[in-house]
Amino acid sequence: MVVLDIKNLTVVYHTDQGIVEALDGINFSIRRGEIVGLVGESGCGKSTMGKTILRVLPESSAEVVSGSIHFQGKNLLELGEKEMNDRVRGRSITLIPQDPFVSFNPVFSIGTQMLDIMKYKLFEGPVTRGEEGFFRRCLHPFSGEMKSQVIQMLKRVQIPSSDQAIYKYPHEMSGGQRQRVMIAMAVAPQPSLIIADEPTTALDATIGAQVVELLKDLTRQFQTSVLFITHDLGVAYEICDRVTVMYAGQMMESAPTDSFFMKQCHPYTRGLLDSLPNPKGGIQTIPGDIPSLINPPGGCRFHPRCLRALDTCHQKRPELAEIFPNHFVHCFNPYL
Amino acid sequence: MNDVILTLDGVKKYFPVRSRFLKRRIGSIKAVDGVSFTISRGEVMGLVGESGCGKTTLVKTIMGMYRPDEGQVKFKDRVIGELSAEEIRKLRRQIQYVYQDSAASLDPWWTVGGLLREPLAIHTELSRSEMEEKVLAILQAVGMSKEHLNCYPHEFSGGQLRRIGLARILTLNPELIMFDEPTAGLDVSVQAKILELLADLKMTFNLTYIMISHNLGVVRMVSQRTAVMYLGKIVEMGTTESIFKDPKHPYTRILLDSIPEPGGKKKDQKLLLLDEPPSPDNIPPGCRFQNRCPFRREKCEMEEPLLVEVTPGHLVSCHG
Repeated sequence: MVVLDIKNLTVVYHTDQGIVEALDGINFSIRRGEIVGLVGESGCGKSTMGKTILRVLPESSAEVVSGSIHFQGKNLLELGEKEMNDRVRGRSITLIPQDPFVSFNPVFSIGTQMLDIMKYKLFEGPVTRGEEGFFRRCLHPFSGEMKSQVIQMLKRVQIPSSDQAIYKYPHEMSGGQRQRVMIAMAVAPQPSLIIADEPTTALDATIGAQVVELLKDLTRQFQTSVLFITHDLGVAYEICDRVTVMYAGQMMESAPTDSFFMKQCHPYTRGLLDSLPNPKGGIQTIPGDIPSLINPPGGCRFHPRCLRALDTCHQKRPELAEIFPNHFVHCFNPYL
Repeated sequence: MNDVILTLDGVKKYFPVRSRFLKRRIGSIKAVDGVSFTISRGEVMGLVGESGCGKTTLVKTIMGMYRPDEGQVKFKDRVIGELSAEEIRKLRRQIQYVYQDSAASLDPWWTVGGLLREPLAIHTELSRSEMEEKVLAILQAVGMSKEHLNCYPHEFSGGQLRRIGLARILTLNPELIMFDEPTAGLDVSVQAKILELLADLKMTFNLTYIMISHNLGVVRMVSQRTAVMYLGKIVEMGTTESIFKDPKHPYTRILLDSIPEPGGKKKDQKLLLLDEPPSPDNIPPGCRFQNRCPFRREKCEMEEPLLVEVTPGHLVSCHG
């Protein structure tokens, strides 16, 4: 069953320097329980994608030019703001942010902040501020059942001595613990889709590995789909069922993880994998730099840096082609 | 090769923990707890470890920014801890530190030309035109051009900023450079270019450097020797080849396993760390890695293992 289906999505930003074409004709879908990795370098539109799905793009500059985002049968781009807030954001689609430190409020304890999630997102309807005044909130943050539920949530993400941890403030926890609390909060409403925006970038490799494992276990358990945004191909290999590579706002390749890393059909994919430091000591760089998205190269946006570019690449944008079962590539001259 | 330029001998650096009211010393954070090694001219040493294991404190002690509580740091034949502030300032021309976040370490109000001229103006007595010549030569060496001289830091991409940071250090021809995560936060394709550049510069300038990183792939590529640090101590040290081929310490093995590598091992066959690191102000007795070690034995709780040579040039501190 397809949970999220994005068709022909084009998003631009209006800036003083001109129009930035951040996303250009993106098509992809996520099935139930699937973890899809969205891989690409900085500025390729990964985060714009996440923001477009949640409809939190800056209103003053961003514009969705065309396309649709169907989530559980409804087009998110046509939903009203109220419905988005009540049903989608934080309920059926949740977000794990990149940096867990800036996403917590430093003056409330972890427990209080988790409780907010439960109050607003888990129980009947949003609670209005009038009923729950600020002072009440500070004086009696916890009551019986909710408290035990919060502790349960923390236990699930393996926070040590979770009954004490609810009284801790964000700065008292390590980066790995904070990220795990974030995961607990993202999983709590049992969403259908979690958008994880580079959740391991701010962590050490060893702690990152633990966090990835945890996320994988939890999503398997609840059959949650994940859009895993990352720039690290290694992490994508570990966790994802399917990997999609983006470059300068366009999709390049999308394939099941094993097929993706085995075949490496798109020249850009191969370039990325070759530029990882490898034990043999050889390292190959992709010539040139990432183009500016204000006046991107015509045709395939990768052609100026591509080693296998043909004449057609300059003029025409390659269509999506299924070169192996379930393995899609936007390229006229892929490695086969 | 055997021209030793840096010797560390049992260096310790503790930071006091003070009580709230009377500010009495009630404990200490053992940031660096007995580190010894030597570096010869032209050598590249990789220093690996998690955040908070004391890598940065160690490097700052080498630079003379901190004085060691015990042990000594010898640069050529001078003991750094005994120099006056003035002498250390002069020494800094020879020992340089490249910051991790070059965007934050370059003054946003200065042009690249100004930024590159500054170290020369402080440490040398070159004339204006000699300076200009030198700045241009360095700028070209790091793969940038003359037009960039009048640009400001915000006009550059992350990779270019790293290059400028490098150029700034190289103007003075330092004998020892410390790189603090030179590729952290860069995209893989840009990281590859910076690593290529580092290898080139190493050849042209015969650089000696210590490379701090927690990206083991990077360390493996550039360094000849690697030291693995855990909570202020070196737990394993040897040639890069022997460390990566035959890691002896469980911590090193787990570190190597935790690098997500496309096409590498998948989760089921991997070793994972059990817990989180203990706080450095409360290190358990015995082996400091015991609470996270999958191969713990009784002996580990009693006795702290010493760093011993197991094969020539390969030192490990572990009972197992």
